[in-house]
Amino acid sequence: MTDVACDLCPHRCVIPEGAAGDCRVRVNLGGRLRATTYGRPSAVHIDPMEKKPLYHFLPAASVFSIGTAGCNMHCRNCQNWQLSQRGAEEMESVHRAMPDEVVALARREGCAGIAYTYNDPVVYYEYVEDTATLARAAGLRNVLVTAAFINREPLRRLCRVTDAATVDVKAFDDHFYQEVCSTRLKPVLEALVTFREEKVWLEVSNLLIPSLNDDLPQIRQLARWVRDELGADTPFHFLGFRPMYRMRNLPPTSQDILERARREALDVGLHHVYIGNLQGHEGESTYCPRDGTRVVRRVGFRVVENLLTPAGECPACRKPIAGVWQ
Amino acid sequence: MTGPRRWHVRRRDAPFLALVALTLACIGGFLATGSDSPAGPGGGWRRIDRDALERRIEAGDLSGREALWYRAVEPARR
Repeated sequence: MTDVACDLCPHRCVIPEGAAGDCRVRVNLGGRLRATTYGRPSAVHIDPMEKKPLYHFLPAASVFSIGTAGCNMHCRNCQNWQLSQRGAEEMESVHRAMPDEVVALARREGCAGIAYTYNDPVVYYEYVEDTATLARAAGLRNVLVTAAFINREPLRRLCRVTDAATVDVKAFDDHFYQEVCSTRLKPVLEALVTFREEKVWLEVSNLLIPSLNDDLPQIRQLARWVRDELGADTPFHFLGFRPMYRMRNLPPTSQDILERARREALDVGLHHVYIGNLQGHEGESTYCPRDGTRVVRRVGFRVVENLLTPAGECPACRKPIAGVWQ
Repeated sequence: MTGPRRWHVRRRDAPFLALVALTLACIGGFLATGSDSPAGPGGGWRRIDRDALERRIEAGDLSGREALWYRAVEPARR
């Protein structure tokens, strides 16, 4: 009987024969680690890019989105827990879609790219890498929607075929990571820096959960860290919490807290700070950091006006707005 | 006026207290030895329904594709 040590994520699980890693889907069968969800997504949808959320990457484009069972995070408020907190063998609905089929479908549907999302793509790493390689060859872009709990070397390799990443930073607090998500903060911060070093387009989100991670000093700390380590042009999204899964005892995030958090991050010096889950709010739109012109107006996930020049500049002052606009 | 209330353990309470102590000992033992999902660095793994998994891999519902980023190690003592 041979144990295997998985070096993909910082859990570094040592898995006995016949068992799975902490993610539930990487399984030791006969001394070899098997990626049981390779080519077997359980969720397949076409979404607007804004839903990921990515606001500075191909606005209004459609993105072919796939996800599988399993996750290496165990967030008590997970909105996709039916997927993420189950093993592959527990899923009733599994599609068969090998990488070439995913790419063909994405092209047929007129999508600009493929998003690896819903559960964390770290746990279906091989499927992501193979699909992304084919997608790039076919002229499609690749997007990771991730909590970035991954070791540096695997991430560097994946960055070679990744065009954009939106990383959900759960809190700027290791205790929160341990208690709410069963992980740790430091590897996530390291992964964010790696994305930046590898020149992957990066946006950061932060879901504010009342009483757990919504105090302004912590928000200020996170915003400062993003400004100093990733750059002031990194788009930052504050998202509102809704009670679900194992966290139904807390109320939804108030508009007031979301607005105060946005103000705090703008005051710290971040140029593009957004509010999600508040349809029609001014914090959904993009403004020129130099003269304040609204350059992209959004309502929900819909882009209703895009005034950027073809070169991605403010139409009034010609300041380049950071992003991948086409 | 009434004085402070005093608690006395009577002989008839002994079985009940023993039951409480036994329950606490069981809970403590369970927490000390861990459940079937040891967590933490270097040790996390989960039991799964292996038969169901292998059946579904054989049927093509799931994949037996070999993963990247792993290595064989000496079996840990459990």
